[in-house]
Amino acid sequence: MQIYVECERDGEGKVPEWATVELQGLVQMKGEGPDEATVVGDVHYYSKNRHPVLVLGHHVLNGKEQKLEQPMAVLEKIVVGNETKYKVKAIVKKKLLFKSRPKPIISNVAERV
Amino acid sequence: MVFGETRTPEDVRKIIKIAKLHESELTEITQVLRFPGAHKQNDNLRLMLLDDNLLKEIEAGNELVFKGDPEENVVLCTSNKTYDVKEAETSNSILLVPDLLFAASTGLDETIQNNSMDDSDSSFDKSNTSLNKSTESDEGKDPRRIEHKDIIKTFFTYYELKPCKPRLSKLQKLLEPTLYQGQELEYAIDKSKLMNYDSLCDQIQASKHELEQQLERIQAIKIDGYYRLLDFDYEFRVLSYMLDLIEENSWALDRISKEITLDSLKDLVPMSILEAMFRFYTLESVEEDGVQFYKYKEDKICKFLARVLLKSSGKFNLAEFLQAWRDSVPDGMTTDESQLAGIALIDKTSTPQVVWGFSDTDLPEDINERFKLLFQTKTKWTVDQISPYIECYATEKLNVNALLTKYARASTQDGVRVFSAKHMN
Repeated sequence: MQIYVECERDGEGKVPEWATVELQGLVQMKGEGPDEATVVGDVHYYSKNRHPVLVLGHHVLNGKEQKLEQPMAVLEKIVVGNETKYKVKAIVKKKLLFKSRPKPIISNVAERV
Repeated sequence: MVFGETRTPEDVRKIIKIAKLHESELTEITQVLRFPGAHKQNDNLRLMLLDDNLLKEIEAGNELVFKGDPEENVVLCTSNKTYDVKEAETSNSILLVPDLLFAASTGLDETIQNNSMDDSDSSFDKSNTSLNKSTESDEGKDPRRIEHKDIIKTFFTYYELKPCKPRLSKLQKLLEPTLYQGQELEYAIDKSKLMNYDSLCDQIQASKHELEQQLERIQAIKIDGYYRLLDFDYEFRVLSYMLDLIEENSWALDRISKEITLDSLKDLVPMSILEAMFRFYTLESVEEDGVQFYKYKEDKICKFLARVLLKSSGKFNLAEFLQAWRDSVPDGMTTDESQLAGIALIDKTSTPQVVWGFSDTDLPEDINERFKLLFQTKTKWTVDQISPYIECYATEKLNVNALLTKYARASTQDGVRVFSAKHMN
């Protein structure tokens, strides 16, 4: 059996480049309405050293931008009738890696967001 | 357009403060990561690690194909390479965010200029100055730029690809049921078992290039659009016709004419078979007056004719066999015991000395079974003797010697390194 893999191209004939964010552990959604988008956290960059910082709930995670040791292809399985094929949607070459222990936010600020 | 939960610039600014970050130290865009609504999550996505070669193939827009039947471990093929596909797990979660901006695209350059004044590396110092800065500058500043970015899937697994040998053993088996035995026996062939290129491509876990190489190696011939192997006796018949022409035409061994060979035999043998057989068994020799001459591959001819003699089962008197063999080859070709490697075994310890046919195609495919049978047949082997029977398992990383280290016991007999069974049984 053969399943073909096609490549998606953008307007310039290039494969789109996407990014990943890598975290230790798991980010779980509270069982909210699944049709609504849910905010996970905010990513900022320090202008000085380009390092990303992710504010996730009550935690601050310091990370860094990293080139993947091996690039990854994002494949999409497409089933039309009884034919299955894959499509390369994008290539991932870089990621934001947050591997340090999250720092809790200790705050006396009463107001909540 | 943004639907669902969103953050306003004010929200983000508040959170920055609560998290004790300093807005002035940050580039100007904040990206708000979101799990999109269920309709935008895509469960059909997979991640697959790429090596340089695969990346190039994808960037060049070349076709890739997954191959494998349900009971086979799937492989990915480019036009000329085969990769083993395995699913690997990661303890980290990998969030896929298609439009995520990296630092360089978030207004970094401008802010670097603004901040170039305070180069102090003491974090205490820095946080103090920036604290001041943030309190004074946050007021009346433009609202922060917010971009919402969707996490379209979270991954804990990805596919890992390793270059591997093409899995070709099935090819022989697929072609075996439809051996070509001559036009007069074609009526007996089960037409439903005939294999064309597409059906082979579909079933063999190998790239096109590797498949084509192997078809040539096992001497599959395209007859009427289907790949066929020649029945041994039929191959012998055609080869005999061809070799007889040497004497008939009094050709020197390096002055074989392709044109005359094909023309003389065209009524006896289909042209596609003649052309293929000529290709399998000859090499170009000299060119004279614009005419290309050929010579037969001597070792290959001798080896084939040895197999013809050894075909009937049982052991032969070595001396008698060698004489008969010498007589069977065209004048001027030299037989040599070394040509028997991989097709016959010789026992010089018995009286009289004997030889018998022993071909790697008759051995079990499983490597353990094969070693077992090899050591049952003969207790001690030199590397040269055993190599032809185990070469098919060798890879770049695991060569014949490594295989022997793994599956056999080495010892020295009369100063020669020999291999025997690892376990007594």
